[in-house]
Formats: sequence, structure tokens, C-alpha cells
Amino acid sequence: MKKLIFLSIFIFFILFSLSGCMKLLNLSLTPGIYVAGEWNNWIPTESDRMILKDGEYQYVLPVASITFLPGSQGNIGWYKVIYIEAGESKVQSSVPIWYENLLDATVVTIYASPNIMYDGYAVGAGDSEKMLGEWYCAGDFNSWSLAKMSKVGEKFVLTIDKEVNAGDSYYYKIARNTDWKPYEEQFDGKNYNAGYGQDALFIADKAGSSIVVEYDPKYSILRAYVK
Amino acid sequence: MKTKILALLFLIVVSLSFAYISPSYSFRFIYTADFSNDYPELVPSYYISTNFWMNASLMGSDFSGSFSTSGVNLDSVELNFSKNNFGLNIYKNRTFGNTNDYLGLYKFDIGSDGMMLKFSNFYFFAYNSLSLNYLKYEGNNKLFIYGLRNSQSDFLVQFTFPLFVNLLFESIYTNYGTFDLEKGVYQLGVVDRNWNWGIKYTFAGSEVSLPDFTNVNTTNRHAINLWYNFSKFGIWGNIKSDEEGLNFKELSEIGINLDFSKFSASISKTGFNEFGLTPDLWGQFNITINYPYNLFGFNGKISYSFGNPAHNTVGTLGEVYYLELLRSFGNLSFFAKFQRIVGVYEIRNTMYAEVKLSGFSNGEVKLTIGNGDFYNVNTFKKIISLEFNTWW
Repeated sequence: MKKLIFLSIFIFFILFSLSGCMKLLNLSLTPGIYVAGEWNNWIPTESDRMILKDGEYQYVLPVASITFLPGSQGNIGWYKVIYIEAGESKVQSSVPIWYENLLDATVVTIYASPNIMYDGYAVGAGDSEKMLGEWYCAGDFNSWSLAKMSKVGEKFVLTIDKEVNAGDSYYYKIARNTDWKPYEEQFDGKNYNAGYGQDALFIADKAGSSIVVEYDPKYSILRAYVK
Repeated sequence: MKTKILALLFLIVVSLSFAYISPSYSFRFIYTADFSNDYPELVPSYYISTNFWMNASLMGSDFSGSFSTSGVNLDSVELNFSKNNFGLNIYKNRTFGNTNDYLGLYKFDIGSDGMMLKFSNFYFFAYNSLSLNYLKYEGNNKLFIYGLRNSQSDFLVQFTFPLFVNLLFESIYTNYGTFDLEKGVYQLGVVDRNWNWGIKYTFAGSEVSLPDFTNVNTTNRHAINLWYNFSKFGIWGNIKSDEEGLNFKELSEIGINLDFSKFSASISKTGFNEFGLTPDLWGQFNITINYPYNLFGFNGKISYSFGNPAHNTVGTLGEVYYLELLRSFGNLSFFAKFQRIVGVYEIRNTMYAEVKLSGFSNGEVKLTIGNGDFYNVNTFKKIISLEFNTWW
């Protein structure tokens, strides 16, 4: 009798976990890509769904909809991209928008590529604010002295002339200014608002005479390679 | 580094030379391989930590010491000496000195350096790594504390009057500048001798200046806590305001615990300013069902909770499934737990397992997989740890 009760409860538990209250009451978001922020209380609705346009997911966010609060320099608003598929979800870590860098822009376009999104990190989604202004890079390879990156197409690039051997490793990070401010926009290849000790790690896969650091603001991809 | 190791060896040798009456020792060694840093490429990390503890007596004195290392570095030390009413403890990077009063004036979560000197019911705590020194008197049903922090001081007075019920009183005053009752937190309570029922009222002044290492809540100017536990049924409520003494309706809570011999359930609700027909309109609430089981040699617990927020790590409406398994095969014991969170847009699965072999006369070996801290970590962490404990 005892075994029967347990087995019944266990089977019920398994079945319920496949269709619990959230599914039965239709409380989960339907599959898709959404943007969440203060304007929707961090729970997106159908109107916050990203649209596939020109082969990439986009969402146009009016600047007036963003809640900006004083940051380490200027005012900062936040959002995150959420990707939902049957049985899986990828939730981006929060991404800052620096109000003063928007100048007279009235909208921010957010881009996402669910295939390269990585749950819990900012990677795979970015925005038009990150394409504006300057980016600087510092790391072990230049004694942590922030150097201005050049804009090449839609990416920001820095080339450091340095003899590198396969297996050499370097920590590095990118920021908006030579004083690292606003701190909220510092990026370590995983998350924005990357504080002290949170750095990207590059391990050289071959020998060469220079290191190239490349940042794609559209999808928050930071990488380095030997040239 | 070399100096630290020499100092550690000196302390061990000195303590051993004095401790010739029944010394006892324990030693723990943990090797951890962490594969959780896997983006953009796997960067595994490996580390070793050890902990050594000893206890000895000599001519009515007790001495104990424990040392831990992380890799080759000395991580923390605790040395205790006591004789009759006298006690001296020395700490390096250890959590010590919690005041254990009802409100929790000083509560430490991370290690500090310092010492504790005790004589009879008087205790003196001094911290090297914090700006704090305090004196404590702990008597029967009474507690007094005088603490010094930077340019201010803290006074604590706590009494328990054990009549046919317990009457409780605690006052914490943070002293800086001129006297003002608003610089204090005050609590009064009437509680059953067995704590089966009670009512407590806490007032937090608007000018209270407490350190980071405190458990005192000053975010509610007024707080009334009530509870009543029957044998199979318990009910509790917290009537709370914000810092301004307003918004009781939004912040107050009520809960019910039910114990049906086969399973238990609890229901709680926070805030009463919003309530609709469907769960997404219920505001903050939680419904939990626990079923402990013992079957086929396994025992453990199955639980399900549905609420908003769903979990400490998921801030939206959602549900949490939890399964626990425990079984022993002679000297080998096996424990595993699983958790699945389904939020409005987050699905999080995690598990943790450990196997312990305790067939040795004075030792045991434990192998663990994952991170067992489900309250703070909701995804599976690729961490393997091997622990060896021995004592003699």
C-alpha cells in the first residue's frame, strides 16, 4: 500500500513537472525572442517580441520608454533579451544603455541572434547605442593602459604589436573612456558592468607578431586572435 | 609565505609539546576540479584546501587549534585556550563574534581577524580587519553589549522575564551626536514558554546607524510578528510598514503551515493591495507541498512550490520541483537532489550528488558532483570535489 502511494505520487510528480501550473494555466511566455526592462516590469508581453528583419532579430525601443537612473557617469537604463524555445530558455544578463551617448537619437535598436546567445551572459544580443561613441581596450598585453579602438565596419578593433607564442594567455577588457567610466558599460566578453577582476581571457592558439582584439557591439561579441 | 608556514609549524610544535594528555586531531583534505568556466572556451581550474584541527588538555587547561590552507597559502586560523573561567581565542580569517541577541546586532558572514577574551560572563571582542571592538556581558536571561565603531558606539540591553509566559525586551541604541530615540531599535514581546505562540512588536527609528555586519532590519519602522502553532497547524503573520511608517497593506504577510502526517503544506501571501482571479494577479504568494518518503531503502523528500517570486534566483511567477534521494549500502552512503524551476520565461535545472565511504576506523572519503547550494545557484555547475576526513 505504501509503495503504491509513493509510486502514484512519484508518477504524478513527473507528469506534473511536464505540465505544471505554469503550463496548465498558460502563464509561461510562448516561444520567441523578447526584450524586457523597466517599461514592462521585466516581464515581456507580446508587444515586446523581437521581429525577424533582414535575417536578424530586431526590436525598436523608444528612448522615452527607458528608465534612466544616475550611473557612475551620466544616466544608465537597462534591458535584457530573452529567448524561449520549447523546454529551453536563454536569458541574457542585463545590458546598459548610456543615455548621454545617445545624443539626439529617439530610438535604440536592439539586435539578437538566438544561436549565439549564451544563457546568463550578454553575448548574442546588443544594440545601436553600443555602436556609437568610442571604445577602448586594455589588458596584460599593453600594461592595462586603455587604448582607443578603431571602427572597422560595424566592429571596433585594436591591434597590439607583440610577439606571441602559442599558449600565452592574457586578460583584457573594454571600456568607454580612458577612466573606465561609465563602469556599467565595461565589458569582459561575457557581461557588461564587469567590475574589478572580471576580465576576458585570451589564450593564443598559435605564435605571431600581433594580437587583434575585436568587439562586435551588435551582438556583444568580444574576441581576440593572433595575427 | 615562508614566515606563515614557519609560524604555523611553531604553533603546532608548541601546542604538541604542552599537550601530552589525550590530544585529539582531525584533518580534512579537499581537492576540487571546477569545469564551470566553459565560455568562450573551457578553462578548468583545480584547487586544494586543507583543514587541520587539534584539541588537547594540560593541567585543567584546554587548548584547541584549527588551521586551513587554500593551495599553499594559509587561509584561516583559530586558536582557543581556556582554563576555569578564563578563555582566549585568536582568529585569522574566521567568522566569529555574532552577538546572538534577538535582533542580531552584529552578524558576520565572512571571516575576520581578531581575538576574543573571556572572563566569567564577560566577553571582549577585538577585530583587526574591522573597525569594531565590543564588550559583552551574558547572564541568565540578560545580555548587555557596548560596542565601539569608528567615532560611534552601540548599546544593547536585552532581558527575558520567564513568568508563566516569556516577556522579552531588547533595545539597541546607536550613539552618535546628540541623544535621540530615533537612533534606536526597540523590541517588546510576549512569547509562550515553549515558543508555540507569541507576539512581538519592533520599532526602528529613522536615524539608526548600523554597520553592514548586522541582522537588524531597519526597513520596517513598525513590525508586529505573531504566530500560533497547534500540533498539526500553524498560522503566522507579519504586519509591517515601510521606513516611513506607511504602506502596511503592501508589505504585510500571512502564512499557514499544515502538517498532515503523510505530507505537509504551507501557504503564504505578501501584500494585500492586489488580488485577481488568475495567479498572475495574485501579487506575492507561495504554496508549497512537501512529501517525505521512505521506500525501497531510499528515503528523502519530494516537494513542489508555486509562487511569486518562484525562487530566490527567479523573480517572476513560477514553480519549483525538488526531489531528494538518500540511501546507504553498508559503509557506502549515497545522496542526490534535483531541482527544476519553471518561471514565466526561465527554465532552470540543477542537480547535486555525493557518495560517502565511511568504512575506515578513523576516516571517511566523500565524492561530490555539482553545487549543492540550490538557494543561490539554480543551474548545474560542473564541479567535482574529493574530500578526505580523518581523525585520531
